[in-house]
Amino acid sequence: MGAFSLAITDAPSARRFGRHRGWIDELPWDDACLAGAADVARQAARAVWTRTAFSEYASAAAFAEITRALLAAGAPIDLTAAASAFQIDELVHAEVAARLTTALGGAVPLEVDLARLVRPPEVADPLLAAAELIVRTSCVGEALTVPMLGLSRRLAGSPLVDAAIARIAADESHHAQLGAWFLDWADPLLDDAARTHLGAVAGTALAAFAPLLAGGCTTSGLGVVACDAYDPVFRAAVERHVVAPLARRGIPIPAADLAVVGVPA
Amino acid sequence: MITTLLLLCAAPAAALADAPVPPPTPPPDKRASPALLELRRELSRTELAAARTQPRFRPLCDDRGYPLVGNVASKGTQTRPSEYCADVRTRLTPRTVREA
Repeated sequence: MGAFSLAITDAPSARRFGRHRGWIDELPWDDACLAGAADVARQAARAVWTRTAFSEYASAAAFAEITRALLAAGAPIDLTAAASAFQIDELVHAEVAARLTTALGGAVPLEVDLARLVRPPEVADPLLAAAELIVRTSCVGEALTVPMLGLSRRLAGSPLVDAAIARIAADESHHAQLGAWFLDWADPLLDDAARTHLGAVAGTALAAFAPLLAGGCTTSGLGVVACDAYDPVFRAAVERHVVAPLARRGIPIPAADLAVVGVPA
Repeated sequence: MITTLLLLCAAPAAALADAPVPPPTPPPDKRASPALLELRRELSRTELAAARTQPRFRPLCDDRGYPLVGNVASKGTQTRPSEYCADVRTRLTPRTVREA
């Protein structure tokens, strides 16, 4: 475990990376809403954006694992290339989250284990292992990200945060779609046992979000969402963006896992 | 010469600095926030070995300690992330997917 930090160099690799991150400099960094916000609001936003920077970093690791798994499974190269490109998107998102955190007053100390960024698949079969990673990452995590970022954007109250979230959300939409792209390609290769297994994977991933639906809350703004706004949108997102698309592909999520996040089977 | 710029760290004033990062200087007590003063008091009562293992903030994680995928942690809770993790572990029985 160690404190999370991000760094960038001015080496040629940074100039290559610059092709992907140029939009960050065009965001309205002189936004007066940040300086004018109450201390308590900025404190909450610092914590949220620090966690976001790490979530994006961990998502880059997840897409790296997916890329490796798709290569091992002999998947079509367009799917593999998409997963590979998404790694870069996530690193760009990590940078913008880090810069937002700095603009808000700095990061909170976040203890992370960089050796344990991605939960490994439970199975050895290359195709099913890739499917497991994609279901957990794209069909659950990224699929929930899109509507939750939309809510966060609507409540941001800051042109800078609004613009940053808008750009991130546009990328995350594609990241979520990788799930459908992959499952539609793999459909003839997945039997009933595989679909049941993937449903359990999705259920476990979904249930892990349950603690988000508890606890006291602050007010909304600067990327932070209050409980009364968050919980109903999250549950609706689970039904619409996770349960329904997987069900259409014959992948049922166990009722017990849905119940943990308050969603009826 | 390659320069490394720090994009994110827990010392706010140092982030994004072009120059070498100086060690953070704590503010005097009369300018420190009550929360910071409380942290100082807590640390002063804790031996270094224990302080090293004391969690402050941790990412949201699943029942096995892996970070949650996606960017959904926008909720402005007043609970520390480390408490989230503890809550996950107590609410969810660790299991393999095959057992689900």
